Amino acid sequence: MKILIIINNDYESFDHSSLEVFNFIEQLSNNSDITILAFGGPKEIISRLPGNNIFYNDLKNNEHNYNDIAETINLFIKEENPDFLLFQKDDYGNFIAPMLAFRNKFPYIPDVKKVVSQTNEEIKLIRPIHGESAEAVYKVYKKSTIVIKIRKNSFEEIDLEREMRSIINISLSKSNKTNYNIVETNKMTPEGLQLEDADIVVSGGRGMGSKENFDKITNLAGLFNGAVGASKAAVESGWILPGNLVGLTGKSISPQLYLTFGISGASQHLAGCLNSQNIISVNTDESAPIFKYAKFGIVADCNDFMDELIEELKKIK
Amino acid sequence: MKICVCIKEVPDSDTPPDKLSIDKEKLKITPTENISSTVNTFDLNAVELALKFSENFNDCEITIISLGNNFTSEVIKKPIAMGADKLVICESEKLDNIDVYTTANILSKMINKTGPYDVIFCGRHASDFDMASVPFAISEILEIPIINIVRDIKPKKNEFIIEKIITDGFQVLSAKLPLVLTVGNQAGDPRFPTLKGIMEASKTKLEKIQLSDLNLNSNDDFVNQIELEKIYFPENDNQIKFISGENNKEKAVNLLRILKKEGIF
Repeated sequence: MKILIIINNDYESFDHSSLEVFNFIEQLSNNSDITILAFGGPKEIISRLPGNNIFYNDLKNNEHNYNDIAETINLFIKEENPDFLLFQKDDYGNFIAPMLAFRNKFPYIPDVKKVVSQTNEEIKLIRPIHGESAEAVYKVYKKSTIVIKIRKNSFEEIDLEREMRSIINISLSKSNKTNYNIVETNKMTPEGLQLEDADIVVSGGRGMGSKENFDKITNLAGLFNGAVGASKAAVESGWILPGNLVGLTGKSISPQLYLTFGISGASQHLAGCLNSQNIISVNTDESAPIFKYAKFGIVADCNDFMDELIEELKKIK
Repeated sequence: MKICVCIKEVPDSDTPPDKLSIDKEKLKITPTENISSTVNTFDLNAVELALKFSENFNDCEITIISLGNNFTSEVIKKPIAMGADKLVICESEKLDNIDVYTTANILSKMINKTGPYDVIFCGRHASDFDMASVPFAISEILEIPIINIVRDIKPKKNEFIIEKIITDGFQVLSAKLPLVLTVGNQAGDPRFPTLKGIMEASKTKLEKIQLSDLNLNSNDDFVNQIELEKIYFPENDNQIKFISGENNKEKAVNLLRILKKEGIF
């Protein structure tokens, strides 16, 4: 089986969720011919990825030039004619995967979370739908390259190999399918521990009521050595940066402990947090949907309860 | 300036799963009785951005385009009540279970028939199947460049300044038209319809395009590349334990004790 996998990283950082894509490959076949096409990221990590061939462009000064990256990948597709073209879910994959699928009239399935079955002719895959409140099984015939984008936190990360492999440097092709230029890029990375890296995440929602109250979430997260998350309502109220958003249109997280305050659990939020190992939720409404997924629940005014929790936590610290 | 916004009627994404049912034959999720469908929220954000953008021009027309089966007239007319000018739909039983490529093919033909347009706005994804794909397919079919998750577009001299959302921030782009733009909630809440708008919408006739008017080639334009085989609600056997206590202080103490006992913290 011939596989072309696209690994995208901003200059010099490495997104470990791409290691999950290799687990998906192992589930397809344990004898694949894997070509890695990596854009950005530290070379010493890229060279330890398990591919038969590794091609690399450091994206220096070219970050986010999606159309040129797509054009470069397209040349590889024509050359390699892979059975599967795989992407991880991020800004690059969300843009380039559907674009190249439709450019080549290839079937495209985004957000794949499970392989159901496979024969020589077809493959069946599961992806979540309706804000992750439901799931769908899709069947795709293996008549051409199948383009797949892998959902985050659905497959186990593989280990990097010990030995470094040789990398072939490539240059970016120039796309003529663009009529715009990037004037500037503004990144507002949330302060402190990043959501995706944290073992403990404390999130607040509409129930927090105000920016002042929401600041207590930051305080509590600090006491837990955790990261701060938020629902869409809290972000839209301007209580916290969009980079802290957990959910379908924000970050997907899988911490050991996910503590929520005043979040009812709209499906769009659940989409980003259901991979947490332990969800503990505080809400005034006993019938809030989040309680259907929480291991422990506290029915209480989230502000009152949080004040007490902060007090008690300070005592044992 | 000619603007088009593609919209889709969907079950309300805020509806909890127990108020939804699955139509096993048509393979779609339908709201149970007394719960209405809505225009996909991100599509309404797209309508909002289109309206804001149109305010920069004296001569501007916004056409809303949609396809599907069994439209709810008052739902699909909402963009007109918000201030859009025209509503063009293609309605047919044949459009019940089509994949993104077929959808985009038909939408592109509707766009060609009613256009050309300077900007084609779409919601970033539809809340029913979350594919986030149709705008990209339209971009490829019509060979019009696409910019995704745009929160603002303004004219500036001979160009257009666009703000696009990226993870943890945003980018400023300078662009030329035509463009396909996808829009999310960052573009701002959709405006409420005005009384005048609602009157206007009730008078507005749906402009209908028949599938047969679109010169579709059944061999090419109607072949699903991916087959939806089954949809279901995943089983959830989670049993929550509520932490009790006389007051919040006691509940907080009990929570910390349980966290410790379970080895979570």
